[in-house]
Amino acid sequence: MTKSSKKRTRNKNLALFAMAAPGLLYLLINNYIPMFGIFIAFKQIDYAKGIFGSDWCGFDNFKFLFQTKDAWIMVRNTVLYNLTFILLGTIFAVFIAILMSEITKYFCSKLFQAGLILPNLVSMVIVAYLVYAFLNPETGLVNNAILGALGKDPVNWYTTPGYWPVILVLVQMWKSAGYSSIVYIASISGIDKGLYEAARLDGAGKLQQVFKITLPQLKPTIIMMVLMSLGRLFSSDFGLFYQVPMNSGALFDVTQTIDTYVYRGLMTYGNIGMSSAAGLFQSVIGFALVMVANAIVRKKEAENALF
Amino acid sequence: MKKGKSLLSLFLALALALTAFSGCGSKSASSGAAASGGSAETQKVVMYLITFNNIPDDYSQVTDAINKYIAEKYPDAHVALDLRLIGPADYNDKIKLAMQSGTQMDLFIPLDLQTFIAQNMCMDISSYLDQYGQDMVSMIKKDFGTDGFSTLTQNGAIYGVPINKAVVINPTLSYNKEMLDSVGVSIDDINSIWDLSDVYAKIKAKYPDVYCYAPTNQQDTYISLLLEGDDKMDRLGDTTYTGVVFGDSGKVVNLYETDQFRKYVDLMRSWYLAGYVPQDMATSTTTAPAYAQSGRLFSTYASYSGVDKQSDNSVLNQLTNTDAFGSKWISSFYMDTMSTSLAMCVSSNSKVPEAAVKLLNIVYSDEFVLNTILFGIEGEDYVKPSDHVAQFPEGLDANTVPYTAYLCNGVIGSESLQWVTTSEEDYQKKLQAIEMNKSAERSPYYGFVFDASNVVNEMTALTNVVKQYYPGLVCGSLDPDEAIPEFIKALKDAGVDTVVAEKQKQLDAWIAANQ
Amino acid sequence: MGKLETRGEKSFRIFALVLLSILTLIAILPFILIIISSFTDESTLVSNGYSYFPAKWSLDSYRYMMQQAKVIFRSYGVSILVTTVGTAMSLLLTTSLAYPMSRSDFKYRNVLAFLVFFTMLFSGGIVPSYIMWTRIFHINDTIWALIIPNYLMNAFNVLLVRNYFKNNIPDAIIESAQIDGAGEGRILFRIMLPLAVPVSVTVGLFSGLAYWNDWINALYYIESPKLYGIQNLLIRMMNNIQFLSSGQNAGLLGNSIIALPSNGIRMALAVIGIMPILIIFPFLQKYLIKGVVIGAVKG
Repeated sequence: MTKSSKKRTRNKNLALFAMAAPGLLYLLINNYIPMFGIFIAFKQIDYAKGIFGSDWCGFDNFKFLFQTKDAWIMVRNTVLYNLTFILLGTIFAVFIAILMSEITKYFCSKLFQAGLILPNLVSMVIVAYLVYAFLNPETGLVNNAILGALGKDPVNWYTTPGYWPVILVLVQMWKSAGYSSIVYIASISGIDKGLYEAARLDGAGKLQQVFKITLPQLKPTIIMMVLMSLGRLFSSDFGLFYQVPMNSGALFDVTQTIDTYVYRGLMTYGNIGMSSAAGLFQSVIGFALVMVANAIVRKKEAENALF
Repeated sequence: MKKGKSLLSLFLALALALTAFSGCGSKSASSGAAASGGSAETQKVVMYLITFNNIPDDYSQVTDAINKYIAEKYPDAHVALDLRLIGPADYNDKIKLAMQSGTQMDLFIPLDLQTFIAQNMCMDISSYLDQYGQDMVSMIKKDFGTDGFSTLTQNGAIYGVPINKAVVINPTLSYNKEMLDSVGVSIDDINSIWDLSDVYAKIKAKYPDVYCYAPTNQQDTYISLLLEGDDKMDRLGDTTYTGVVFGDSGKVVNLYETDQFRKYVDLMRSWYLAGYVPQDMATSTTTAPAYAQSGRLFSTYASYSGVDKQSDNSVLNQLTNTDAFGSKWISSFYMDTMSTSLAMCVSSNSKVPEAAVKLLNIVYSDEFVLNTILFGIEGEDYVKPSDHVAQFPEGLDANTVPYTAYLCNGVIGSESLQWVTTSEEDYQKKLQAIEMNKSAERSPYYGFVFDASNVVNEMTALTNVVKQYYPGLVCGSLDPDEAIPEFIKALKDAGVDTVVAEKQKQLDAWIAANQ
Repeated sequence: MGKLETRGEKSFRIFALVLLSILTLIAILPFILIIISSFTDESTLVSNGYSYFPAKWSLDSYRYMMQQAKVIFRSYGVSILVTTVGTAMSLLLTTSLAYPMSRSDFKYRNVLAFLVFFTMLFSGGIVPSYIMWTRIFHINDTIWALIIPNYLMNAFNVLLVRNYFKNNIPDAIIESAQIDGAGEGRILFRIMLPLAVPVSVTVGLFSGLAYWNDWINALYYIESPKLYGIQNLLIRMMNNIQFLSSGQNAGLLGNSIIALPSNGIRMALAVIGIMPILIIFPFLQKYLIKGVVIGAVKG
């Protein structure tokens, strides 16, 4: 008996591997082979010698990230914004998903869905112009229409850093909440409806159903999304932090992230060794964070860990 | 599953369509290269040319025509051109990628010459120039002066060939003639930027909705031009202005700590507070041409080439389709170490450098080759009403003609050989503008090239600091009394003193070597 | 199966409708501004800024675009082809990799998950990818350059599908199929996928949008204008216009400046880039909603 079940297991494993093979092959070619380029971060690139022939330079390319008094500011900004996005973003997306799942039988849910995804389709460059349309000191809608009507003085938005954390968070929520909610909508739709029936028979009200059934059922998805976002904790959306503030120097203290600093700094004098080093730095930290977080999750609920 | 089957057939149909598509993706210009002579010795030279016109799907007929001509007229050269037109959006990325990945690219135009040289992207072609490039070398020395190659020369190595054009660009004020008349001021009374404040006061009083000044360059009021022209500042090859020299003092200073910088910032601040300029100048992407088009601009200034010190016409008129603007020089041109920063170079990993230099020599010296690159095929793409004028054929324009690259006239070859699109008179004016190169005032340090490799980390930090404070200061929206001390402190924290010291060291060495 | 709705449930439903209407309005109001601005006269845009009630309307921006109509429609075609084929292939690859990872009796599932996730964080950058795709695979300047690099399968989608398979489809179903003697392929295609329509549609949507919005692959790998997708074309056009009309590049251009309504055109470009999706979306939604319903019934 055991021999044939071992054979069955082996056949099953073979079959499953065969199915995974095309995808793994793609990952190998598209992602893993080019990873050899990581060595560029450790080389002093001289084009005459080519990237393969250039000299090694240890960690020199990483120095510029730390040799600036801005290092703390850019890391703080990147991390704080990302944590806020993860927290608020998840709350918003789940909230919208729950609402959307309520009204699927109505025609207007189609309209809502399309409308909520729309912001995600607009590129950040255009979003920057939209924000500018609202906030520019002379002709902006906020200064003219809104503040004027309320009898308040116009604000010079692009030179006042204080408002921008809020502005950027709002912009990011506007752009991504609808899109992120799709994942949760799909998850909710896969929840066994029988659970709700049973709860209803037990006399549970709507809110109770949400808190006792929907949210716990969403937990695996939420955990997965959060873990994945942690991996990118040190990266940022370049368009959001560079273009939306219109590259305004006065706002650097609250809008400078690692990515914008690297871009600005390396535009003229930098070389690909340095930009590669910056990217590697962000990846390594993100990776360490995920490993730790995943280990914690695995200890508590092994099923929901990423790996 | 029926649905599965129909989906599958749809997918197969699409895959079929795809394979049909994969056939028509071949590079358009590759066929032209080997056409000449069929000789096994003919070497193909790939030139990446930045173009501001539309890129046709297929322009192999142009390259074929050029190569046929080269094979006939220069049979001993055994070279052929493989022209690649690339738009400005991806030009920089494409040349860097070509170099990094080893794709063949022999001739290109670095958009950031000093950095490219510092990173060894340009090959030293001095020996090839001696053998194969004498025509272009003598042409440049004739039109520019014997120091034509100075900014491209380091320690005897020559890294490229300058584009032979009028380098003298004068800071030119463009002003609305009617508005100026109506406040009773004559243009003769305006001779420098310091005369403008009074005029602006009058204009503002009469035309409250008009901006007396709006920037030509986004988030920048071009005080750099005035610092060069009026105060004889030499940037010493660096766009952060953290290490500059005034006149012939030989002493490198941090621009932002000087009085010269302060006086311009104060001027701009006064304009800002008086409302002469858009209040969002420091962050806006709207520039003078846009304001001019909506009739809300009185003046702006920028540097243009040209011979007319004063004129009833202005570059801005091309935009408004009126002749509302006149122009006048308000400062002079100072040829500093970054002035000839456009050149065509051979990439450092090119496998055919001799052929590249030979071909470049032909482009510089042969009128037909150069103008075919710019204008295409006679009859199809252009007609020639006179010796030096080429225009679109009847009924066609830049968007409908099969091939044109006429906007490349500033980035390739020699302007003295290029045809113009307007009139013989303009052609003569161009020649005069080129003449001016020789007599232009040069900085005593012309030819000095700064090697930033020892201070790269400081430069990246400084670039960020400068970007933080510079626009606000030069556009007048920051209060200089508060902002400048902050700025200087931030610069010091980022290592500006190290950079200044390094520049001084290199400058002293250069002065000693070039006495 | 009569379901009597309690008052609590009904009011929650109404609450959802109202709130979602407000949120959707907030979401699309800025986009309406984009559309209006694309029809606004350029000098009005410059003097008065963007407004929902412009002083002067104009078709100039679209007139300028119409000069390039042939090119625009051709690039629509390229984008549509790339998006449909790419999304279909992507779905296939993604689900067939996600399925083994989701099986709790597959002892290598965590190894696979790690391998997949690792690619989300580490990348060699564009240069090694460029070298590999052009020098070894020679896909540059072919349509495959728009389909294969980066978007054909990504870790996020794979993990999403794995998650759905694992959590929303009970092991019991798989076990009973195995007892019936079904092979793995059969299980995936006949059982898992039909039950996983919501996540498949989701991944299809994400994948399709990614392909539609991509302009980077074309920027690096394509030279021939015949293969420009719509986003790539629009970005190039915008860059060109900015270059030509800003006046600051007069040095490069030999003193030519071209007058173009750049603000209006920018908005028109955005509209042109998004419009096809808005038109197609209602048709796709049929599947999205249907998927949601099927998921409910099968539960």
